[in-house]
Amino acid sequence: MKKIIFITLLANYTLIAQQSSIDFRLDLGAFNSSINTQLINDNNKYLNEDDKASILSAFSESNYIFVETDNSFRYEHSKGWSIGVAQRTSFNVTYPIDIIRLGLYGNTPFVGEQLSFTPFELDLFFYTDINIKYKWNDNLSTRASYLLGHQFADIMVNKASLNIGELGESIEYDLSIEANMSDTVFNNPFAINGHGVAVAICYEDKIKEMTYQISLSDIGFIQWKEDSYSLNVEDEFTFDGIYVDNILSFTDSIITNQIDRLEDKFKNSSKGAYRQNLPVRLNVNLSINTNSNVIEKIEAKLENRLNYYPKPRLTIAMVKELKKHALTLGYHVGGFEENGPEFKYAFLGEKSEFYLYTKQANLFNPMKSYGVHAGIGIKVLFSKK
Amino acid sequence: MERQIQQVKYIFNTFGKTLNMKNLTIFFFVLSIVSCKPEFDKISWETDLTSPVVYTELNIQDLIKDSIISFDTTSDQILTFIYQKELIDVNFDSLVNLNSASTSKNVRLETIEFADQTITYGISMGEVIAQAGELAQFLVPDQSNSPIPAYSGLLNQTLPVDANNIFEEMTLSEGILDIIIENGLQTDLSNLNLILRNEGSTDFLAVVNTPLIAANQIETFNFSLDGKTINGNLEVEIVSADIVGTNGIPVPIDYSDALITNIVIRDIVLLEGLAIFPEQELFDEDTTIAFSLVETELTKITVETGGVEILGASTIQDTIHVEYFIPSATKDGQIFKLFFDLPPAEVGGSTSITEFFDFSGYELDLTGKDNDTINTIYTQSRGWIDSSGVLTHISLEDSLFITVKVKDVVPSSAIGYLGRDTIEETQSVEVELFQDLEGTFDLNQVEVSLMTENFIGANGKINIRELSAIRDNQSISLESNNLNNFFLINPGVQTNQAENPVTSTTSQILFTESNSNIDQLVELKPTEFDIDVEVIINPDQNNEPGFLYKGFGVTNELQLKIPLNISANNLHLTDTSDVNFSIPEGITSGTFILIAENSYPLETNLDIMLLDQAGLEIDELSSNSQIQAGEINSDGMVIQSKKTVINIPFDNTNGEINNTKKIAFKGSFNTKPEDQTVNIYNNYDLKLKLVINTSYGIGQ
Repeated sequence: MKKIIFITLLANYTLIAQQSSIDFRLDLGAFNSSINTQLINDNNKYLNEDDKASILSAFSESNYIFVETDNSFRYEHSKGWSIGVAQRTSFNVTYPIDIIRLGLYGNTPFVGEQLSFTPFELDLFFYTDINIKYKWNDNLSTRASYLLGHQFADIMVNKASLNIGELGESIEYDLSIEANMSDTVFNNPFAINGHGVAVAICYEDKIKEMTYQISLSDIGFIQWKEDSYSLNVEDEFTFDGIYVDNILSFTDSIITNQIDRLEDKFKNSSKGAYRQNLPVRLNVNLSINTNSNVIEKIEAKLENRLNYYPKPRLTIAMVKELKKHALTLGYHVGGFEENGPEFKYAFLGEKSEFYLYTKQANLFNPMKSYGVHAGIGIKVLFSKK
Repeated sequence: MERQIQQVKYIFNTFGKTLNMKNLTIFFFVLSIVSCKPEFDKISWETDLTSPVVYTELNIQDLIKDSIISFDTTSDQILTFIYQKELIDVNFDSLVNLNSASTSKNVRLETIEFADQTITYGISMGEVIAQAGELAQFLVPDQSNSPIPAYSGLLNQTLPVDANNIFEEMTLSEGILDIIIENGLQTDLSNLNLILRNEGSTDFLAVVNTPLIAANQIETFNFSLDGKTINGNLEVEIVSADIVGTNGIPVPIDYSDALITNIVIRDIVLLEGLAIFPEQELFDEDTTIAFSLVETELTKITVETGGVEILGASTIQDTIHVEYFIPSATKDGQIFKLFFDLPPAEVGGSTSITEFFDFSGYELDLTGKDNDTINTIYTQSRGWIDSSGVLTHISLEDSLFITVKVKDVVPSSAIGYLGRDTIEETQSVEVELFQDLEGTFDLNQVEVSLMTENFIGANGKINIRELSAIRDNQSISLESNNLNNFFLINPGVQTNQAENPVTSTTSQILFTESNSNIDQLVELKPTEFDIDVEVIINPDQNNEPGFLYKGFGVTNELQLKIPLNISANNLHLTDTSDVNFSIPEGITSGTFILIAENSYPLETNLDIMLLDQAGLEIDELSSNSQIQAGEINSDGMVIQSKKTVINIPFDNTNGEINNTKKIAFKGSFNTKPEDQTVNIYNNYDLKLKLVINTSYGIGQ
């Protein structure tokens, strides 16, 4: 398949005149839905009941934590083709508020009640993307990637509830968990545990003063190897304490034995190959030249990762250009980030370009700071523009 | 290649220009903001945790888990409490005591086997011619056909005869010496005078005088060697021997032709000797070893431990081999045999050894070689000396002393008539049952059985002479017509099974409130029973075969039966149990919640104390917590169990729980309704569940 793509690209080789360059980018973001800087600053102490209530109010029924890194290096040839290598990590966990309730208060306040620990979902993938991109003409470009999978985890808790008896005389849980993960996730992060392919397609055009670009990327999958762990737990259990023949001769080794027995349920994993589809990324970008001296461009961007983002991410931004410098100030909603401003600075030299940007520019507003994001890019051209 | 190098340089130069100081400042500023992280290590909080820990369902049968206590139910399902306590155990060793038994033998050599010996010497024709001189050699050349002339005094000489390769010295009681002269020369010999003697001795062993030995003829001469001593160094003196000649007639001359003398020593009866002896048998005999037992007549035993000890002493200067067989002793189909060597004694001295051979696991038939006796082991033994191959001194004066002792034999079983035996036992037996019990109770229908179990294959009699109950300084003696009476005990029955070879027979002596004051003894809550008992085995001396197996003797057991129809008033029971907790560090205090669901008609007040390893009180968990009694109907039956929740706060601030190694429980029981006797049925139980409710500090 890889060969076919490569040969096809070469066979359709056409001369697209542009400059040769190398491009280096670092991108790191970590976000969560519920904990902001203010909450951390206010509660970095012993938590009393009021503090706990305050913390709990910050969470909604469903919450998430998202971490993403995307570091890449690309060589682009003047003929229109480019090759690149990128290392990408994505970690996304969705968790319910009852986990926070249980962690803050323990189970005693919930005797006679039921706690639910769904939705709980965890996705992790970490891979290296070796790709070749080809620009067919001024409008259309495609990219084909060969993926070296390093680590993954895909955990889905379909059902997890906890009932505690009126006097605490019983604890009942009902569990349904599906989990798949690579076997070296904790001891060799850069091990190669899978192989995959992905393609991307991008179309861009201009209508009068408006440039638009539509792209679909990360259309592909990684086939994780046979050594991957696979675990299915379907368990309903009522813990009434541990039955002892003689309560007078009870020792805590009996509890240890019981915990060991429960752990064994989770150790009964099997191994097998696992296919993980990448979340397909859809980008629609619009850029309108205003012909104004104050704001040169207005940009609108729509980004979505199908079945991954809680909701599509929409950005409106203004671009101010000053000779070789360009400043972009925007506001976004949706995505994993908290709604808020974003910022980008670009230095556009004749032989080099430099970018510094953040998609979470509300760092200095603790009430709105739900994560951090920073990106840096350097592009070096082999000839003057 | 040059082009690529230029490209790399270009890239670095361009990076350098791009990352100028201004841009770097911006970069690191942003990075420092991104890198800021709050200090989370100050966050801590308390959580409240509740969890069931353990639960159990208790009934009286479970509470009193002891091999000596059991329960039964009456026809109306009332529980009957049964307490068993062994009072007497007449074990195997006290009935059969096999003293050591031994046999000794003192062996002297009756004969010394020694084969006939032959010593040969000769003188050839060539040697004879050579003594006659060169002229004779010229006239009578070898391989010629020549006449032999007559000579006189030609063979006058003394020849050594060496027999040291056979013996160095022999003193004979009897013996015959044959001198066989074979004239292999081509001429007759006349006037032959020959003497045989020990070298250098003037005493002749033999003297031969013969007027003529014809050519190619053999002559034999016999001499007695009785009482004579023969050395290995002998000599033969030819006093005279004349060559008759061939009267001028040529005869074939062969210098290898010879006059040969064979000296044969035969029919030897040795007194002693220093010689290379053939194998000598010292003894080969059957022996019996009898155990000394009074009245007991055993036909078979199985040996658990013990063995055969051999003491041997010898003056014989050669290794003595001894083997013993005990055909009546078998183990896994193999008979018992032992083999040992007595090493050679020094000249004029003696040698001795002691060896022990394990007898364990052997089955011994004690009926002798012909199966017509008792208490007797039949043995076969043989002793011998191998052919030494070297010169060895053996004398009829040498002797061998051997003792075989069967010692330290402890049988695991014995078959046969066991004899009459009387065993008298006076025992003070500790009774744990009531030791921790305070308060009073009133019992109905109590009965005590003294159960005698007989595992011995012999009948017997038992007589309880006295039984007393003792608590503190109080003592009550049993009064009953069943005291001081002999009760028959039937013999046990063999099962022929290895693990349980015997089925016992049981005899019972019953004491009830109607035939004794036994209820007074029990209500005293005795901590000790004193008993005086007499057991007679084979009282009628019937000589009938029986059996004994180790560990299967005669036991006497007290069996106390109390139907649980009781009235308890503030009856106290205390118990201490070993525990081992390790509460996590974050848990400093909390509450144990004891949820009890009681269907017994017993109201229980519970005190729980934590004790350290030495039994010293660390903390009191619960004081006088009450578990309510089940609800009872007019028939005295519980119709509804009662649920009680008891909160038991605990403090582990100073590790009180973790330091606890024992928990002392003190229960106070009252039957409900008060002053009414209630039945305890076998379906009653007490469900207990322990729940922990505690605060757990996180991040502290």
